[in-house]
Amino acid sequence: MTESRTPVISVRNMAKNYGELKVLRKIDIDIYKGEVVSVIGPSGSGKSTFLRCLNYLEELTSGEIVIHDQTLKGIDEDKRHKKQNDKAAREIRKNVGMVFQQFNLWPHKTVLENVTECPVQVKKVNKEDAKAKAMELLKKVGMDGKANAYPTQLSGGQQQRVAIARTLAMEPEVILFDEPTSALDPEFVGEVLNVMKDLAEAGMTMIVVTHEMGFAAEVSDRVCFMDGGYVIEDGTPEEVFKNPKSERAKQFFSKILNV
Amino acid sequence: MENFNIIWHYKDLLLQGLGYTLFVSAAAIIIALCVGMLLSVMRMGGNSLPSRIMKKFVAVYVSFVRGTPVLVQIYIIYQALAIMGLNLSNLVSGIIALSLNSGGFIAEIIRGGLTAVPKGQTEAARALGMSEPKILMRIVFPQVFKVALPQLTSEFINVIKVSPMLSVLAIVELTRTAQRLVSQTYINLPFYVAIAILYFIICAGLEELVKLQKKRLER
Ligand SMILES: Nc1ncnc2c1ncn2[C@@H]1O[C@H](COP(=O)(O)OP(=O)(O)OP(=O)(O)O)[C@@H](O)[C@H]1O
Ligand SMILES: [Mg+2]
Repeated sequence: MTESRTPVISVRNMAKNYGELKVLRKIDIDIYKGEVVSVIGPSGSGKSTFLRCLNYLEELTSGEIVIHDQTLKGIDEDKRHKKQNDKAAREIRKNVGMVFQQFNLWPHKTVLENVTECPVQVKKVNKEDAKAKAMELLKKVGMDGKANAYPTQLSGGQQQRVAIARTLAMEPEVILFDEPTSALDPEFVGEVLNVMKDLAEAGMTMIVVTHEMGFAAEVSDRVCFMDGGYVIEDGTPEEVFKNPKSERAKQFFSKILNV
Repeated sequence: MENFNIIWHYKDLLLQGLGYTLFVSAAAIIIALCVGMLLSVMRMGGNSLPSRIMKKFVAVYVSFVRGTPVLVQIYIIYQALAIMGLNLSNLVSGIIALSLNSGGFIAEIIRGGLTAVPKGQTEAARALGMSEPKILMRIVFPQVFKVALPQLTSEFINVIKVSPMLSVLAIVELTRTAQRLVSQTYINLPFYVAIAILYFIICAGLEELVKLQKKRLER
């Protein structure tokens, strides 16, 4: 990659508090097109909070996030940022999809309806086109056979694959994954990771909070280790896993590798 | 048999009364659903001053509706609408009074149903770019109505059973019709039994309808 790169997502000086609790203290990170970034770290280190700030499911307290030409700003610096943030978030969410630990499919809609809902309602795609596109995506994640099933009739792994198809239907440029396999029974983890691998290979920009160190090492271009509200390590999987600079990361890896 | 003949003789009037009861109840139920949803939305705000004021308003509204007789509420709404200079027919005033009453109860039912919709459901919709009103109408309320269907049905039946009170506004619905016929004919029990049967048929019919709908939803 020799062309001068501008980041897809640029986070500057971001902090996030819940009342007195300082969850994110100071985050600076750039994410580039096509990158697969794994975010790892101990429980409570702020990984989910970090992701949720990126598409404005949480307000940031200070600092800023730039995605394309849209900026989210800390609301503690100026209350007026709130209105601007709402507006920016509407644009940002067109480009940034999210996949959740608990899948969050809508139980009153079929698999197909889950996938077509937002293209039709938000992007105003006509129903027939949306359906055709949805079937294509469901096929891609191996779920076209269950298009007319309801989410409760599916296994966790199947639900998560549908959730990924639902996100893809909005044609995002970046997808945020928050522990997409943590709620799954072990036998279903592989099928979801495989879909994610395919996406990565197809060039999708992805930020993946995960406890799957194998996936992080094998698939990602970059690994970020978070602890105490900071990104402490940020490098290639090789650098971070083999030669962590910080004591914290060393301890974390020795702990999880001993389990 | 003689009794039956008398009722048959006045069937047109009774059917007209039945028509009014059905119309008033259906209109009140539909408007009450809107009122209930509106009150629920007013309760959803955060901690800002306007949100807190709205929440307080809804709380007072609901306790007023629950804590005062329906008849008194009908009188008050009727007079209040007149004082506001709205030139409404008694029928419309009556429907509004019933809707405002039932809307308070429906808001409470919705409050219970909302706990059945996990936060992740709305977050997923938000993350996909859906607007807040659409999230409510397409993701939240359909699920709320599904789980709260039994309570909503009893509330709808309640509206039908409260509708005779509108006779104080000279609305000649089913009960009022029967009263009139009784005072004309000096025969009472057959008429009251007849309308009781009619009310029962409407309410039981409504319940059956809901059961069918529920089956459809639960495929
Ligand atoms: N809505 C909230 N209100 C208050 N505190 C919160 C809220 N959400 C998260 N927190 C707190 O913020 C901290 C970071 O939470 P976060 O969910 O971001 O951690 P995480 O790194 O994703 O952890 P895990 O690996 O367990 O998912 C935790 O201490 C958590 O209790
Ligand atoms: Mg988390």
